Amino acid sequence: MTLAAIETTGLTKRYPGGRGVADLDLAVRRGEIFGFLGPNGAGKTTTMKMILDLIRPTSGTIRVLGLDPVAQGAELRAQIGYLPGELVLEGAENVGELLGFFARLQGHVDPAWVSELSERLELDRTRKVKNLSKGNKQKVGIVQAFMHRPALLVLDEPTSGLDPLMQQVFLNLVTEAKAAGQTVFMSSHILSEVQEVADRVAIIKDGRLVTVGTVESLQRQAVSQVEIRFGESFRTEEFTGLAHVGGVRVEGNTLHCVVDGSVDALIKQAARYRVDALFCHKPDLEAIFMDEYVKEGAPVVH
Amino acid sequence: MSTELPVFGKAIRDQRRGLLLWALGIAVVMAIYTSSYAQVKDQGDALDSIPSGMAGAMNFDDLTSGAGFLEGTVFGLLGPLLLLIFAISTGTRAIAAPEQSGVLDLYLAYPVTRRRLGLERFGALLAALVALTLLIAVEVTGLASSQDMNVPAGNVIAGAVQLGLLALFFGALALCVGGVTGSRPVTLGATSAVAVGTYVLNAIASQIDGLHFLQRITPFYWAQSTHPLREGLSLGAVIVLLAATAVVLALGMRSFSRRDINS
Repeated sequence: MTLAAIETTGLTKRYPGGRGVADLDLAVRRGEIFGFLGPNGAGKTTTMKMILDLIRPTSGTIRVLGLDPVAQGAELRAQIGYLPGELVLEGAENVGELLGFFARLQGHVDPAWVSELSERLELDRTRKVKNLSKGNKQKVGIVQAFMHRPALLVLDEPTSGLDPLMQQVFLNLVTEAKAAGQTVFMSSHILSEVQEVADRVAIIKDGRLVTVGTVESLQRQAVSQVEIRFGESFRTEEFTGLAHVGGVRVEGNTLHCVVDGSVDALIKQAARYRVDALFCHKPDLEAIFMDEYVKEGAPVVH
Repeated sequence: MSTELPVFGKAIRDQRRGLLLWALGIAVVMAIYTSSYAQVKDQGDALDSIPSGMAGAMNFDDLTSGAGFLEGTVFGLLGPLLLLIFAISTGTRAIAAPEQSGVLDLYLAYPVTRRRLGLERFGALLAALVALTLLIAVEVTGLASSQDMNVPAGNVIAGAVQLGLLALFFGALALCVGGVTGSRPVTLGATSAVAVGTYVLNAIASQIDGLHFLQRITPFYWAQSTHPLREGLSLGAVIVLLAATAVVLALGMRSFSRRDINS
């Protein structure tokens, strides 16, 4: 049993239009919740489809649970639960019958667990599939992904269409899956939810990996926004050129700046004056993400 | 992967309702056309006014005999038309349509190989065509004997079987084009074009001396121009149609297994 749930080296998928992914080196460990973030069209879905062998890499290698998706696809997919980003369900059946079909297609599914999942998500299994709302379809998608307790969950934008209550139920399911030793690889652009549950996150942009790390390490790396309200006038020059301080801007007796590391120098300089108030915005993942998204040629940090 | 055939089972359930309507429609059309035999037989002279070339091309050259009538109408024209529409649309629904709608992504994320998914769906098409062939064989045998057509039951069954195999080939062709392209309109268009094209080719080539050999590359020649209603089952036709079906199916599955699924 290899350590990595997903391991890619130089994974590349080229499309005529220029989309796709380029030179992706990714290592998702077994038993972790891994958030895969990026704007639409960044290559998240393309990467996930290569894990499932729905599309084939142009170059590079990919191993999932120690197996080759192309050569050992069916064996591998027995251990994966997949929720597509654009979920389509078809058929004249009701939800229960469709879930029965998925269970037969999968092989080993515990009906009691399917019932429990449906109840927790408040999914009515007597409804006709074709009449389901987007949110209810998404619930069917979540149930079928979790129903066989797979070693690896590949979830593409899993909470889209779910109301906040159901998003929380879903996050509980993800956390329980991790507790049971399952690996979760989930993409999102709703970043706050990834921030809540993910052990590590990767940010992908234009098909390239921008950064990988824990939520905390990314927050440490990211700049903090600092605002200091002085009780007297001060000299702006004293604050430009301080270590780790940039973007200095002054409005009256208020100083705005960004700090990309220790605030020591800034605090010691500010202490020379009377300070009425000090605000420091710790960026959430969304801000980091937007920052990475904006920054060109940012270094890849592992 | 279970030992059941889950994809086959779902395809059967999904097509159940549609198949029932098709069966009803085919039964009604067969009954109406076959029942008109008595009138056509009485008006035999009027049919002489159809130009002989056209009559030959359309299989109308012997409408006053029971076998000739069945070959010209239900087995030569309406039967193939209805059965081919059914088979081509079912074959398109096997891969191309679900791929284009996106639902195939979900099915193929399960531990089923693409080849197996395609073959199970072909199995559902085969089961439906067996049912329709059986219906046609039983119904036309009954009608033929009540109308005194003097066609042996074995020949009616042979006609139905060869018609069923013709439809099976075009269903497999639709499945194959879907497996290669994954596009619903391309699959429907290309397969229908091949059906119409080979039908016309068979009809025209049959009327031109020296071009008869061209008929043999059309499935319609093997299904119809071997005259199962008059001559009984043509073993050669059965083999050629089955072999052609197997070849297009194999080519389609090969390409389907090797390419990216469209999104």
